[in-house]
Amino acid sequence: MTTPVRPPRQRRPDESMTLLVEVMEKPLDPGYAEEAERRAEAARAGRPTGRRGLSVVLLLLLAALLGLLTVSAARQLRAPQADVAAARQVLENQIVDRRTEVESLQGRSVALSDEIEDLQHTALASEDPGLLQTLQRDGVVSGSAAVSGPGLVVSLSDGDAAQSESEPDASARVRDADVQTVVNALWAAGAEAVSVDDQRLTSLSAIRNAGDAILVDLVPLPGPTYTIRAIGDPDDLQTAYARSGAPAYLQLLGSRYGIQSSVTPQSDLSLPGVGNQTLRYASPSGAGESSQPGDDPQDSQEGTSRTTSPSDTEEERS
Amino acid sequence: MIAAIGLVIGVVAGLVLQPTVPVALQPYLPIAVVAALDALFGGLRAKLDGLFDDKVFLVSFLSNVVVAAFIVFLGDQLGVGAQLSTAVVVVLGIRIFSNAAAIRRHLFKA
Repeated sequence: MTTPVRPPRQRRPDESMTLLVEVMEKPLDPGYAEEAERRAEAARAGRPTGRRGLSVVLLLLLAALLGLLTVSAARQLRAPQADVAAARQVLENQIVDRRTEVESLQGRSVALSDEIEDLQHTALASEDPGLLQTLQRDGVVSGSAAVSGPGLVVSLSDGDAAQSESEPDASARVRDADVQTVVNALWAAGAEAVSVDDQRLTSLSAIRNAGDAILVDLVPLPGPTYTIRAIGDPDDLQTAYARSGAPAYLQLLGSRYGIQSSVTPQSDLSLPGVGNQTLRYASPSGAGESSQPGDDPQDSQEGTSRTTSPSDTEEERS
Repeated sequence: MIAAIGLVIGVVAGLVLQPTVPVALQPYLPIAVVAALDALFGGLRAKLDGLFDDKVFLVSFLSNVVVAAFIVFLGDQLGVGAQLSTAVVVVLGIRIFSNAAAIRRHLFKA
């Protein structure tokens, strides 16, 4: 090694802050200047300035190592995209699988509840026609049986801003509270049966948001238009609905967020039923253990804003 | 010169062999790459200033990478990893910018 005698290094008073000082004053590593000075001195003194043997090999190795390190680090930082894509694919597959599973189970549930209903009908029709009638009426009220009749159709559509590709505006979407407001107004206006996008509302229904989707009874509704159908006397319904707060609310939604809404009376609506519902905890008071789950008449007026009980209301989806 | 040859060898080796970095080191890679960039720009500027020296360049390169990674490691241990990473990036970023400006002045005389 031919390293020349090191000149006594000047210590700066702020040496502990070299990094900051360097950043502010001289971005170039001061080592370069020192080394250049040393070389110049060596040249003046007539000493050879080149490197030899071991030193060259060491530097070469160090440089190769650093190059390798940097390149593999850079590669590693670019690489994970493949992993992310693969993980995403797995998740997508799982979603599709589960969805088909849910669909087949829902189909089975619908078939089974149809069968139950048929059996109930045939059994009761011969033995106790009175009970069958009560059962059917209760089914209409509780939402377990399909119904048809005249009524009102209210539809809400997401504003245009929610559809824009570049910058979807979440506030222009229809929210659960909007649907709840309309549904509650319809119940209050005397509707006898209400459905949201073919999801019949029962005493156990909940309308709520999960992320951007509106769920009714845990079934996500496909947007962007939500159709709320209510059966009742069209004229009375319309008058009472118009007197409620809902139209003003919808008007506000329309003017502020561009959410479109319309109200049309219809002479013939048919709403699906949700089939038999299982009550896990509630039993008719006084009737002891002989309660029959699924058809105890409840006040369906308050059926809209509950967020309880995962009611098993699988049914056909449109 | 030696440094440049060595770096090229290392880069080619890295591209050919495609080594994987241990998972434990991965949090420090971004900072290490920024530190490496800083050293590269510093070296380039020194070259243009006529001050370049292989040893200084490589040692500053190595210490930059190690110190940057260590700071992030320390930050992670103390629960301020993100903040310290930001600090390192700011400091190195300023240096890269001013070195790049000096290089630009050398090359374009403007």
